[in-house]
Amino acid sequence: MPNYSDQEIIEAIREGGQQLETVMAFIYNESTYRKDIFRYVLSRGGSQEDAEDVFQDGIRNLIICIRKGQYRGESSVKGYLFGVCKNLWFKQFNKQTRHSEYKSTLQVVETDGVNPEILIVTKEREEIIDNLLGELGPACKKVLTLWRLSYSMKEIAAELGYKSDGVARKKKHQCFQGLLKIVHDNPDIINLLREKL
Amino acid sequence: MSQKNHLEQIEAYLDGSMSPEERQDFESRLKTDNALAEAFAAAQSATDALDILVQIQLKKQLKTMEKQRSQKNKFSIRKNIIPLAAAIILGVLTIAWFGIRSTYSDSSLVAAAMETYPGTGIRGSAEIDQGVQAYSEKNYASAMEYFEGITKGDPYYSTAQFYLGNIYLENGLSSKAIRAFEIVRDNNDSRFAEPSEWFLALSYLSSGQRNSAKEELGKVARNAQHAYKEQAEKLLSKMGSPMRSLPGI
Repeated sequence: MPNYSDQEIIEAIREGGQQLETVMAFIYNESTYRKDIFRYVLSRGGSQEDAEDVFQDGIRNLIICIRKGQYRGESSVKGYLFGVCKNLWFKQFNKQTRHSEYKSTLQVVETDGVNPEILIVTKEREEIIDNLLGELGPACKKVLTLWRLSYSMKEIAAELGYKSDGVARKKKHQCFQGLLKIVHDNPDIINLLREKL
Repeated sequence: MSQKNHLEQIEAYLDGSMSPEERQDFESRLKTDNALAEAFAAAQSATDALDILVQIQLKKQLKTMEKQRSQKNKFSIRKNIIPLAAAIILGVLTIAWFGIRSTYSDSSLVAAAMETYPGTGIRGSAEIDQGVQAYSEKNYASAMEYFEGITKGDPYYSTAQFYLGNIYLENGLSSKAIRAFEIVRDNNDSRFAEPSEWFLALSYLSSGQRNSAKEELGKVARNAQHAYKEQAEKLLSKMGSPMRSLPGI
């Protein structure tokens, strides 16, 4: 697997599409990213499974931060990811434990003066919104998700087995109309999205 | 402008397929065109909802990577198991080989069969008595001096050679032991005839002369009255073991 500089990682995530997936796989499999986070979670009473969840959520959060333009490059990608993971573990640990003596050992982390924001929503909220969008159907969900991740129409067509990028574009338009209707008809979705995470 | 046109423009804006001028124009119109602004707000809510699906999609992709990684690790463990198992088998075989070697090699068979001939009950000249005394005390250096001082023609020459043979055999000097026991055998001293045949066989085996050892042991084993018959049979049986055909034994 090729090595990526911070700049290349950020660009690939901003650009989206297949290169985002490649860079995500690089971050996930690169031991220097994984090792520190696993060591941190394991040394604070977490299990391998906890560390894996925190690491994966941290990567998702990093990608969303970059794509939403909230990562300003004030710390390295690795440092930022580590900060996100620490905060995620802090959040999870607070939920899991009632022991205040342990809680006091964990604090929300600032990385290079930046407090990495947690943008990913809880699993429960994910499930509720996923269900509310259920009417879209799996194909539309996939088309719109890939579109939102900046996959090209050609990539979407290849991914979903459409004959051409024209077909993919038409499908995306129809699906987006369907999504607008669902959101319009279900004010709960907007309320859920506006609630504090 | 129709709702349909609004939607197409909003999608183009969200796609990033507008030129910088078109984008600027679109953003300006958002401030003045209420219908467009309303449609855009609805589209933004829709894309916010879509972002949750993006999170779910990223989660699925990461889970797939986790699965692939764990399979790769399993494969790598499996890949490592083969050389590890081979190393263990090799280790076990080596230990087994050393075990077999320490049981079935010539020197091991001799060591197992060897019982130091007693130094009691033999009387003779002053040198013989002193030599036997030193031999009984396992003071072999001193005993050798006494016995080696007794030369051919001395009536106790066979006795001295017999004890010298035992000392040599005990100390791994098998060629010298063979010569000493052959002298005793050739002198036909009835006191030492049977033990010297047995120890001669052991001396042959100790020096690696397996055929001579077998021949000598065969003579002993075939003699029903021989004092060492039983030991000779046992030793012949061990010498015939298939373990002895392993390389390096």
